[in-house]
Amino acid sequence: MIGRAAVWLLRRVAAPELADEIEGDLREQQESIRRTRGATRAGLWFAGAVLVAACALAWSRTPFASSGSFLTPPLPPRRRGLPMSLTDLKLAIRLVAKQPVLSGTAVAALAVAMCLAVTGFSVMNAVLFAELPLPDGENYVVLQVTDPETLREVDVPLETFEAWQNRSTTLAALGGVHWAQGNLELEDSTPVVLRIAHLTPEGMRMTQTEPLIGRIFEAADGVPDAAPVAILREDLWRQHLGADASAVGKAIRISGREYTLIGVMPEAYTFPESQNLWLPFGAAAGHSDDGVEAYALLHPDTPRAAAEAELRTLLESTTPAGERPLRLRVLPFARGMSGEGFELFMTVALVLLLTILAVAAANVANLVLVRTTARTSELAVRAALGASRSSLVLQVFGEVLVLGATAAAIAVAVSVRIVAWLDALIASEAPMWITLRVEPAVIAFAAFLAVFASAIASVAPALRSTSGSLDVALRHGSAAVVSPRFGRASSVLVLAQVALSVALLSAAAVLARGLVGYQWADLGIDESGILTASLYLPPQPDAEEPVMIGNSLANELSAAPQFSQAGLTMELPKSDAARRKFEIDRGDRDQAVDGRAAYVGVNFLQSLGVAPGAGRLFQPADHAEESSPVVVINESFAAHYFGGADPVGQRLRIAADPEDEPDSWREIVGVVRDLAMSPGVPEEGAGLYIPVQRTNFFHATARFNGPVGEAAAALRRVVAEHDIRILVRDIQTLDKVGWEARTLLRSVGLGLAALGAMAMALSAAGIYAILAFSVQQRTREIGVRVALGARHGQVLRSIMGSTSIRLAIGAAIGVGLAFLLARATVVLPIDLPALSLLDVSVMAGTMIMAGALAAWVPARRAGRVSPAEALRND
Amino acid sequence: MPKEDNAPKPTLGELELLVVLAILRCGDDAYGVTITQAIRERTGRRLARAAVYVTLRRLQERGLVTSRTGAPLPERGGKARRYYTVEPAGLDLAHATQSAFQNMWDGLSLAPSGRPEGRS
Repeated sequence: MIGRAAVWLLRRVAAPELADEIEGDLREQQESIRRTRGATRAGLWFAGAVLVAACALAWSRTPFASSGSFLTPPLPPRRRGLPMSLTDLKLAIRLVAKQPVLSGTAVAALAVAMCLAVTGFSVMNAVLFAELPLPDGENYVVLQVTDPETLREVDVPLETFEAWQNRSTTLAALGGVHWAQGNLELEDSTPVVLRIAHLTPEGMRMTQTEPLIGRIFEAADGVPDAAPVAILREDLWRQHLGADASAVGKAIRISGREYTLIGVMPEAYTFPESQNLWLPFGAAAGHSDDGVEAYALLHPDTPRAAAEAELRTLLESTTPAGERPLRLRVLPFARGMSGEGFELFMTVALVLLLTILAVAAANVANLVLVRTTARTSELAVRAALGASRSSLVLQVFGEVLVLGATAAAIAVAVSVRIVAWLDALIASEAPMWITLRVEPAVIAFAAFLAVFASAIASVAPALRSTSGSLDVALRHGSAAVVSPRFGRASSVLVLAQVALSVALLSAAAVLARGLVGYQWADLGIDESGILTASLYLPPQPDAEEPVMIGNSLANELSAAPQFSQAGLTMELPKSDAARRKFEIDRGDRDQAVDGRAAYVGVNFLQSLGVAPGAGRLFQPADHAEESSPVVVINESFAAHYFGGADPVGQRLRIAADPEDEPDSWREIVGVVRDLAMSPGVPEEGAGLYIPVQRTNFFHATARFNGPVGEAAAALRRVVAEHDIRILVRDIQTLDKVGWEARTLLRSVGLGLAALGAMAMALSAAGIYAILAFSVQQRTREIGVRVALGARHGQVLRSIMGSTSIRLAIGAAIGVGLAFLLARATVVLPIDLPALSLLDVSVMAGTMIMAGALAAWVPARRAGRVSPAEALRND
Repeated sequence: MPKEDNAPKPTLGELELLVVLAILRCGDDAYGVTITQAIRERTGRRLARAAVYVTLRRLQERGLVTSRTGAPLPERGGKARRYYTVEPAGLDLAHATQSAFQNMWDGLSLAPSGRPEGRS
């Protein structure tokens, strides 16, 4: 699209034969770049080269760029060349500088909206549209297979995979991957968590990347009874194996199993995503019955649609009779690996951001309308000197483009910083094709946004200002041509921006209240003295039964000298525990209640140093399989549902779905203080703890002595000794828990607040501008009214009256929008407080006051009009 | 000597001379891409494309160079190449320019520092 736009521009400034010659030469060079560096880079190069050539031709002022070329007959002026001369540009800049407040408001509003759109597009471009940094990277695809009934993604059956491998003519190579995690066991230090990919040998060979030392997988590595082998990434080899070349050929241990290290890949190689260790996919790894995720390298110039058609035919040929065949899509690699959910989210987000930009631009149009209306006489003079309506509209467009271009430049500058921060945030775990930066495509997108926003902001007001008889304007001034009162379009725009500001600021207030909850949830214990870690035991392919983490780990941690007490839990404090429904045994009836539930392992509450307010805490026997079911409730639950009565000894159970077996009745054995089971919404924190025996995912909580570094190392060591297959992550003290939620709330909240403030500023500026102009145009009328006896207060009320009504209507619409927007916050992965009437009242009131103040200033000026002076100066 | 032999001969500008020489080097395959490449390879200068095309047009206007279009090619988006040939007048002017520069160089010998060692 950018290339086509550039060619359009070239044809505007060069004679047709010259444009053909230049375009043809550049396309020829584009083709040779495409063969070596890929289609995307070639396309961008072409667009850039054509643009440069067009600009150079235009500004060189040669006869070959405008009329008078010997290749074409002379053309009348304004049919060739750029629509804006240097003089027009200087006038536009001067006009912008003359009205710094209005111009500054417009630029700020557009810059905020453009910055969000540019940042969103940068992320989307990097995640979904980047090519793999490998030879033929643009030809890699993911072969996505979904179940026709559930529409969920599934693995490709091995029979189908083999059919594609043996019979496809559109695929240059086919690869399969199976994801896993594990621990690299080290002699002198704690295990290192590995991101593992089991790859088919061809799937690794197709990447055409040579190892630093050793070899990559061969076909023999995946057959039954093959010796287990592994390939490590360079950074791990340097850091943990001393960059020893002789390590190749020696044994390494991964999650309790021994492998022979056969090669080391360069550090930049993390194929397919962010892997640091590779194992062969095949029978030797226990993958005999598994399906596989498939990816492929297409032959050059093979359309994806052709490959999809062929592979679908082969898929159907391997589908058992009577079964519906799986659905197949062939997707570009980045898109396929990122997942449909992310693509949909980014598309929706980008559309939303572009809509916000369009709204901001439409509001800027309000300001432009006032300004162009005031210049109707000047536009009339230009028309009298021969300017067509289209050239006048283009002139106004060019003036607004100065604002738009300034806003785009600011947006890109800020976006570069934001994108760099995001890149640093994800660098260590980002997939290999993702490097967040502001690419030339994004700069081009920003340029497109500048033109898009400027067009919205200028064309309608310019058409409106030049719609009347400019001849009349020349004789009687602008007041005779365009009504200065609130036009319908202006009213709608002011209403829209008032409503938008109330809605966005109300949503920001909800996030701010949630942030307060997460930031200052007080557990009443020394959180900095408690170490936490997440423990995960991945499924083991060769295990007959699922393997779990048992409660004995807590006892082993407690026995370590670095810890005085340790426990296990599935939910940490200050994270949202699951919402559940319960039934309380009231004797003659069961009372249905709502609350939170957290499953805990042994000694969790003891490790936090929590004492029971009534009854007792869990004992080890409560976690045994045959023990009587018990629960411990928190003080909020006790107060809410038991009032002043002692809840210890009472019974409750988890409410079951009608088709499920009812839960056993559980005895309440103790009451503890609230431990932030719902930090974002503290009033929903009533809940209880249920003992669990074993699970494959726990958090460890351990009260430690001494330096936190030593405690962390001790925790890793004890866990490794308990079961080397357990992955240990996110070691942090309890006071740091919840930083992801706080970061999310802070960033989304700030974004909403910025947008809301932008909308509020635009509303106020728009109201001020329109009323100021209105007062100026009605000076004579006001003077006559005052001369006839109208008091200044009456004049003030007549000017403010219509504004106040519009503010009230806009605020009311904004309140409705705010409640709709509050519902949309459910997409966030954390619980937030509900939008309250107080939130919307404060925001609506603030907006009304801001708008009233903006209207009062010009209205007060109107109230002071001296009749004699008004009539004399007419 | 006849008067016309003593009349000052026009010369080509620097860029014009480079373009004419590039066309002569490229022979039958002289079109925009090859001309620009030849100048870059021989002089190390990366000229703006627009400058080359503008110069070619100017040379055509002065009758020093002619052009013809080739067949449309798919790798050029269906556009044809425009091949250039130096006319005798252009060749004469190139020689005249070369002579003019040669006359200026005769007798001069520049030391590595760039200062002339001797004067003729």
